[in-house]
Amino acid sequence: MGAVIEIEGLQKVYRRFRKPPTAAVDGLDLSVPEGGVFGFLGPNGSGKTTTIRCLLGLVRPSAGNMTLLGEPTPHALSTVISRVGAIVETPALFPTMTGRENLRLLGAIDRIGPKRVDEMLERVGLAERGGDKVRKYSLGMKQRLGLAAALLKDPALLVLDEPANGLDPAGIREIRELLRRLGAEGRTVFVSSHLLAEIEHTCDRVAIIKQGKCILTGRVEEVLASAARPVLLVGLDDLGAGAGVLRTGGFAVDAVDGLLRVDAPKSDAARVSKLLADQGLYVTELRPEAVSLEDLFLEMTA
Amino acid sequence: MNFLHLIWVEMRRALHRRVVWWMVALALASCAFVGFIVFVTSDGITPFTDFSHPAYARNWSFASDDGGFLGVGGVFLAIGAAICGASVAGAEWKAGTITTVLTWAPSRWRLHTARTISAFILAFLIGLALLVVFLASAVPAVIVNGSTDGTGGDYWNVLGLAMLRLAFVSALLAVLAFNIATIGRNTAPALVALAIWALVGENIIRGLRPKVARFLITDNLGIVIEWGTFEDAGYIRGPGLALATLLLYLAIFVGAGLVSFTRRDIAGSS
Repeated sequence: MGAVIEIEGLQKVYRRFRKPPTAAVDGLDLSVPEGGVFGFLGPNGSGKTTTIRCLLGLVRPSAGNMTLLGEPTPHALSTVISRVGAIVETPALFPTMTGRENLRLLGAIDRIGPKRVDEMLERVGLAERGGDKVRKYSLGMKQRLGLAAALLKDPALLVLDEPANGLDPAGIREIRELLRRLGAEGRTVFVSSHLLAEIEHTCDRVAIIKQGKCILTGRVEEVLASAARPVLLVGLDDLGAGAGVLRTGGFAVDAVDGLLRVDAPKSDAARVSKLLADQGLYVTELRPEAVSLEDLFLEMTA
Repeated sequence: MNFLHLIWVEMRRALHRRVVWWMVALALASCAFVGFIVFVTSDGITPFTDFSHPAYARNWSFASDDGGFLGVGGVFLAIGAAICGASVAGAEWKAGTITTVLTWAPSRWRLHTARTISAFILAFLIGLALLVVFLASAVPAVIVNGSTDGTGGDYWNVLGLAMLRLAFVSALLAVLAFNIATIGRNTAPALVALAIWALVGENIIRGLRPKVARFLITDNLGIVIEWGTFEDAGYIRGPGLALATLLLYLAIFVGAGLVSFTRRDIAGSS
């Protein structure tokens, strides 16, 4: 199987009485390959959750074609749903039941026994709180319970909508490690998030959507490399003297945050260092300027 | 996924609703209270002065002059069934759990049909069990102060069939309320709509257009429960036709609930 999720020309238009139609998703094309963690990024209202809801048959698309694990969705969703685990927004479970009861009830749909339920509670760190009513859970605990529910089916594909929502830093780190492990196990984890640093650290591939359209997709390192500018950051004790030397050498130079920002590709690093050293100026730091996913995201979605 | 298994799972889900067990507990407490009142008031009764007292088991069926002891329990059972039916649907929308369930069982028509059938089966079985408990609450009074005179094999058969019909009608109301709550995605409005229609709407129609009364839900419910014709209704309608009318209503509401559920976008913020 090439792609576990294939979306072509997906469109969802909401029509409301006496209001102009709103396109939540507007001709989205997306292909998610098998295995690893795929980050699905976009600002609020860009259509991430609507796309996920369309994929899972919760919302009827206005146009477009989708396949999930090779089967057309929503028509053949029933045939693949047992291999798909999902959380859509905040996991919705019965608040008056315990976490364990909720999972057992869901598991019963696929004839999943209590042993597997306990294993999944253990896996998300809720083994000791499984007997508490869900209404007593914090938002982070509800997220973990939702993740446990999604993992119950031992899915080949996990579709997670903002799984780190409401988690504290330790919880976010746990979820990050769990997602990495799940991706490394050969599963495909399709995760939407607005925590860009988390996506950068967790995902193998990303797609960025804006106003319902995919504007960038690829492997994280390739995406970042394509956006990287040929800039070197140079640390020196005497920035003013260093800037003068480099300008004389033909480089455009700015001083930013205690460093010199030199318009030069990585391959010019040795030349920059030599120019400075020849004038008795020794670099304390020399590195290419890195572009973070956050920088790229803000630039592309602005 | 096996459809029967889905029905079984939906029955389990419904049985996990707190409102179901609160209503059952309330019904059991009411039975105990009624049994106590029947027992206390049965002290010193005679067949001549207190001929309609439930301590005389012959008064349990609808054939007795005041509608029978069973009829009293039947009214509350029907109300309780409607509340539970509406709540089972409404709570899923309120808690958002319908989204979670659909990520496990995405075929909406199968899910809705399974939920409707499970609501009917549960309401019928619980209703029948509660009717048995309700009648049993009068047994101490029958043993100590009353009698079973006037009852025999035929009487118990008639009573048993009346209980089955009452449980059926309660289940039917539960399914109606379940589907109205599915259409409205809320419990309370569904119950209010059902109550206003039954108590106000149908009475207005009955007053303005007596000939149309034979098609109303409450008239047909009454005919099916009593399994006879209303003598003072101004029309003659057999119980078989009344049952068919009720089943038609059921089909219309289940169909509307199904269409609403299968066509609706289950959307949150995007």
